[in-house]
Amino acid sequence: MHSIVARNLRVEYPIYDAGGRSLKNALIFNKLPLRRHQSVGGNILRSESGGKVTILALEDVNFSVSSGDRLGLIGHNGAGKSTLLKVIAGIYEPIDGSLRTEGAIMPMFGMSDGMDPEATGYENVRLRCLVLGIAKDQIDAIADDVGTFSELGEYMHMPIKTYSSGMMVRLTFGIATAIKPEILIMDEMIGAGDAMFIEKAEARLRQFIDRAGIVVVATHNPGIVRQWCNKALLLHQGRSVAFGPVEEVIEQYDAIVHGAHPAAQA
Amino acid sequence: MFTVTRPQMHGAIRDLVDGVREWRLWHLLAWQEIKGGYRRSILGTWWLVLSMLLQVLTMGFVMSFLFNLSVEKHLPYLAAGMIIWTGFINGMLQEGSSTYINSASYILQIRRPSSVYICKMLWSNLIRTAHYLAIYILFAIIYSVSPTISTLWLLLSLPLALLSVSWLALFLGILSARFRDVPVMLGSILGVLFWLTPILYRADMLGDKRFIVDLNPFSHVLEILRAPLMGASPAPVSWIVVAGFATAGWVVTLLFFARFRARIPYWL
Repeated sequence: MHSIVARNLRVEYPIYDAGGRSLKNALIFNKLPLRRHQSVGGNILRSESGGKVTILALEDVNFSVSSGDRLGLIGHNGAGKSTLLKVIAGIYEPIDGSLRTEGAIMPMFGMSDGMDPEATGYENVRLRCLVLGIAKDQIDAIADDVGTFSELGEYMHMPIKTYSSGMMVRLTFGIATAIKPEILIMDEMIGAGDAMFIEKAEARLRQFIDRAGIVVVATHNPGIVRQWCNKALLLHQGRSVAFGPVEEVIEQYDAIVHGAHPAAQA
Repeated sequence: MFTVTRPQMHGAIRDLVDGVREWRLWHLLAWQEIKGGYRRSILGTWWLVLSMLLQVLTMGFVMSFLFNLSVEKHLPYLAAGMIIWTGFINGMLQEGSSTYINSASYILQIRRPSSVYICKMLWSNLIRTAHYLAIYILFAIIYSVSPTISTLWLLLSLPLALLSVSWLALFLGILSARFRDVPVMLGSILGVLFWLTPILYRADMLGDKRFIVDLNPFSHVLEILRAPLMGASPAPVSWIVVAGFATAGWVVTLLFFARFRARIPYWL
């Protein structure tokens, strides 16, 4: 039995870099009000003393899903979708509130960042598996599976910097879908690239998602949510505005997009 | 200064234990890095060894002529000191301070014990130090410095030295993630410490001013590693200083790690 239960999650990012400093000046001289609502992004806060600048990325986020659920996170750019994924993945510990997850978490974002361009396709599969914490006895089977599926052939033994972008997509897609995840977390639906390959890839993706215990996917495309999910969570300015059956939540999302939602007017 | 709760402390200890246990991961990451140095380069890491060999030879002869030292005694001593300083102390501290910054792409991608990245850094530096050791072996053969029973002290001094350097690497790693000036500042501090550590000279050459090197804990870390390589027993005071340095350092670092571990991803 896998589950994710989030109660009153709150996440703040501290801002330290140069932009933050000039921002800090702006706040000190009161050019920005203490709290400002804007259409994109979390709210920018400053501490009581006026010194520290933070972005309130998530506030009062509540939802719970269990085995078999496919949850779509929707919202504007900067609504907090990616931050929430990182909190679910255990990368950011929330400042307040609680998050309980049961099941091994398989995050599928930033994959190409973790690849070594000088290493071969096979080496990168092994590296990826170890980074994901996959047991050693499964790694060889996964590497073979990726090799077969991606049709990369001899290229699996070449440094991946020699790959065309289409070949890169085949490799990352192959790796991403080779495992049996318990809780799968994706930032935008993983794509499969060129047309020749797309049918094969879609079948594999369908199989992969069906095997997962829980799927959480962040997107701003309601079509993706309709196609793949049975539940949806609408984030707006870092708050969970609606959670439940897909159509109901998408209706509220459309209302926000058209500025008709009460949350958009706050 | 700051308070540490019980769950934070548990989290920190679990992170360290799990991190060390993930040896397959840190071994592969370190190996990947070393192998990266060899790609399309015939000598790879041996380039670093070659450059140190030239440095040691030049320094060794110049110093021997300047201070009327016997070359056959001074060269193996200098080689051992340079290897330990470059590979062990300087390498681990310098890289330690940028470990979290450089591992950001992994840390922001997947939750793993954060000490994995420190272990990887320590391991790749140990592998590199093993390369450097060839220089010492070369001089030891040429000038017939043979191992004695005292060389076995290394079995104790190596883990102890590693403990005393690793806490500082972890501490600097966390600090640097938050304050990006630290790695740069550290570079100048290590430049000064190099001269306050008896690498190019012997501590007793300083006469009644030798306290300036004795007050430096790294002099003692160097001593417990170098003496066995020279076939001698390390001075008892060095054992005590290094053990104390490691213990006190780990107590402080553990508290620090417990308090700020969860903040690291936010700082990257």
